[in-house]
Amino acid sequence: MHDVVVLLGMVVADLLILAAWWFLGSRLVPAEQAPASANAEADKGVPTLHKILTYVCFFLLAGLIIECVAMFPAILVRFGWS
Amino acid sequence: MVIKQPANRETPIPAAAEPTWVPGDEPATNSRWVEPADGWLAAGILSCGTMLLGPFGAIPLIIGLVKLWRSVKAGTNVRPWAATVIGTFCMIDGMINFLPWSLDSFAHDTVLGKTFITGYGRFFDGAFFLDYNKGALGGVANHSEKMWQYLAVFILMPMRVVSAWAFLQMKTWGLHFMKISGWLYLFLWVGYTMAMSLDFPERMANSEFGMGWWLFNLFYLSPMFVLPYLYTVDKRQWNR
Repeated sequence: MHDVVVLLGMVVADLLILAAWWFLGSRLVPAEQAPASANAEADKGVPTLHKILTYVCFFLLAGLIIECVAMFPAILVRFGWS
Repeated sequence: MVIKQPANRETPIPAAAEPTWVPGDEPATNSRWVEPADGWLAAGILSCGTMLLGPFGAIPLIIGLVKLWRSVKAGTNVRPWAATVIGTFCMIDGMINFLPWSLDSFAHDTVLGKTFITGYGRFFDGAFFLDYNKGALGGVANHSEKMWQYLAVFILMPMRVVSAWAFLQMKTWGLHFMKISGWLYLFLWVGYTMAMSLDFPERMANSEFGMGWWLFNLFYLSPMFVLPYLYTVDKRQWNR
């Protein structure tokens, strides 16, 4: 009985994973290929989404630049040449 | 023939106002880059991306970004500012994964390679320091790290770097490859997070800063931020 419960749980988990990918795949259509009615609805939030993503990526870019600038000098100062 | 319009133009210009070019009558000053400041951007990204030349790369990179921002403010840009930020971020991210892992794969016996990789290991990730150069392939001895390293060096990261630059240059295949490499990156993130977490006692606990796990996760999450942009952008702008 224990095995049946575990196997059923596995089947449910697999179905959920498949459903999540179906959901994603069916919506990740390039905007200009979607029906016009879908575009009209979807386009409403796009400028806001792009703005948020730009801010997040700019923050990450700044972090990367700091990492790139500081990493090797910090290694040399702290540990010297190996 | 396709005539590109500035990306930030909100209303299309009436047909009568558009320049009419005929084939063979292209402008004589056909720029090498999409934006004039892209040379600065490329120099900065490539230098910063080596990590070893990072302190020198920040200067041209910041100059390039400032010039591009001014171009956006003046309304003379072709590429959207969001694409510049996201493409630059992805390309540097690809470079800093590609080059250092290449050092470990191919140059793990050199002083430069050993200094950088084991230094990184001491700071953040003990796998890059403990038993270094004692494995079958040299460099990192940790098996799961070596597996991800080869996947990254031969497939994902070079793909990410070239696609990010092609994306910045508004090439059709650049946008396409950015999506593919974005999904591959998601794949790498899940696997790498598992490897890091399972080996946490050996890797993170043996570094000076226990925040290594958080550090890599912050940047490896990039597909979460980039994929939504790539799927909502108007791909007709990527027409070179």
